[in-house]
Formats: sequence, C-alpha cells, structure tokens
Amino acid sequence: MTTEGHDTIDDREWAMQERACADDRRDGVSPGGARMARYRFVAHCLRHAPEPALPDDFARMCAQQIEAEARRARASRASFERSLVAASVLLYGPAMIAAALAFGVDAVSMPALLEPATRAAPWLLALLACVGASYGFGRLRGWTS
Amino acid sequence: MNPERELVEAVLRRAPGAFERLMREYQGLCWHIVQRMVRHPEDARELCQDTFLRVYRHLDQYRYESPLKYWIGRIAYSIALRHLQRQRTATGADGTEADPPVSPEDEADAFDLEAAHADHAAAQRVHACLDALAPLQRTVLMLYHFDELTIPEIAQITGLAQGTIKSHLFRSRLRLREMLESNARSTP
Repeated sequence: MTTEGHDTIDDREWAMQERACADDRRDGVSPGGARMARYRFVAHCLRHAPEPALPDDFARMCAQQIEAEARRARASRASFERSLVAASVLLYGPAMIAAALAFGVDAVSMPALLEPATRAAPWLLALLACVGASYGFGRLRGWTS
Repeated sequence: MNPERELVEAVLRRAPGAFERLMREYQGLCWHIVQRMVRHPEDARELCQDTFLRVYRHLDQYRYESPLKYWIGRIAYSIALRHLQRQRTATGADGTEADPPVSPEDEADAFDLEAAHADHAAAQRVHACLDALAPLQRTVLMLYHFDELTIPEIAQITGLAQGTIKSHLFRSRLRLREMLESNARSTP
C-alpha cells in the first residue's frame, strides 16, 4: 500500500492498471485474469475515446484576430504617445517664448537651463547609470537566452 | 538554436505566420485540456482563444525553463479551471465524491476481452462513465492515456503534486473497471 496525500493506493492494483495500459499500447496480453482484462479494455477505450475536434481553420482565424488586436493596441499607444509629445510642445514651446520675452534670451539659453541640473549632477549621473544598466542587462539577457 | 526557441523568437519578432505556426503546433494540447475540463465545445473554443491571447501577450516572459508545451498547457489549464470555478462546478479536487467500495478479485467471472472489444455498448458505457467523472479526474486520465503524457509532465501542466495525479488516475481507473464489472454481473 502507498499513501498519496489522503488516499491509500493498493500497489498491486496500481501495478495491474499500469501493465494494462502498457499492454494496450503495445497490443500485449499480460496474465492477470478477468480484472486485468477489464483494465486493458478501459485503457483501450480511453486511448480511443471520441473527442470533438477544433475547426480546421482555428489557428489561422485565431492568430489573425489576436495579431490584428495587438496591432490596433500598438497603434493606439503610439497615437497616445504622439499626442503627449504634441501637448508637451504646445505647452512648453509658448512657455519658453514667453520666458524669453519676459526675461531675455539668456534666461532660456542652454547654460541657464542646465544650471540647476549641474547642482543635481551626481544624482542625474546615478539615474543615467541605473537606466543604462537596466537597458544593458536587458540586451545582454536577450543575447544570451 | 532549437526549433522551439526559433519559433518563440520568430513570434516575438512578429515574423509573418510565426504565431499561426505556434498555434498549430500547440492547439491540440490546449484543446484537449480545455475541452475535457469544461465539456462544452463553444466555451472550450473561446477558452482556447483566451489561452493563445495570453500566450501572445506574455510570450516574452517565457524563460525556456521547461518545454513550451508545458508552459502553454499550464495557461490552458489555469484558464479552464478559473472558468469552472466561476461556474461553481466541482472539480473533484476536494475529494467530495464518494468512492465505490473495492470489490474482491473474481477470477471466475467469464469476462471475454474479445467480446468486449467487439461490444460497442461496453465502450459507450466506459465513455459515458468517463464523461460523468469530475473534470479534473477526467482531464488527468485523458492526458495520461490519450495524450500519453507522463505523471511528471501532467504535474508541470496542472501544478498538482505527482502523488495527487497518481491518486486521481488510480481512483478513476478503478471506478471504470468496477463499472464494467457491475455491468457484466447484471447482464444475463
């Protein structure tokens, strides 16, 4: 007897079931009387059970549908990103022009814009290093997998 | 590079026809698992579609730690199981179905295997009894006998312990054999 979880399995009965399964697969007939014969019949019925089939064109139709949906989702995301970029340009562009008119061109020049950033340079460098490392490891995993 | 990895990378690259090739390769196993669990062809087709939709969306997470068929089979099984749980159908995993008593071996019973093979009605009774099994037991039984998967392979797909799978196989086959026995006794 073997205990599997909460059930007790009769090892002899299990062995008979397995022999019957093997017999059915190779058209053999192991000794074991009527019980063995019944297990062989059960194994035979299971191996030849009628199973409804998928339609022949299931893979083609389903793949087309899934890929079309994915293309629509990507197009929608790209459109959203373009809208965000356009909104940023519309927002910051006039703001830069207004700042230049109010405070002079020097106020919106590159050195002036970078000046607060240079104070935070170590943190910016750390952020860039993390982003770079994540990207690099991702690429490395793609090459090695 | 092995063919499975080539196919996965082709799908991730969005190579034309790659995903359809993947589906053709694995739709059989997916269908077998789902259809045996839910037993309703329309629902099973939808659940198969859901399975491959999930495969398409998450294929970049597949890490080649086990064969792709087990990864896809596991998704199919999870989706079918969730469908059944939503429908509040007992899967038999809690063992609430009572087992019929084990009858003593009867060597004197004149069970004629050749006659039984020719006996279409006996086969139909086995298939009817198979349909009456709990979805989980039926699926495990068919994965083992029809799809000829091993117990470890079934464990990878279902997430069940190998001992539990062995227990389901044992009890189901015992039940089917006893059904044949009781029918033989009641037949004049």
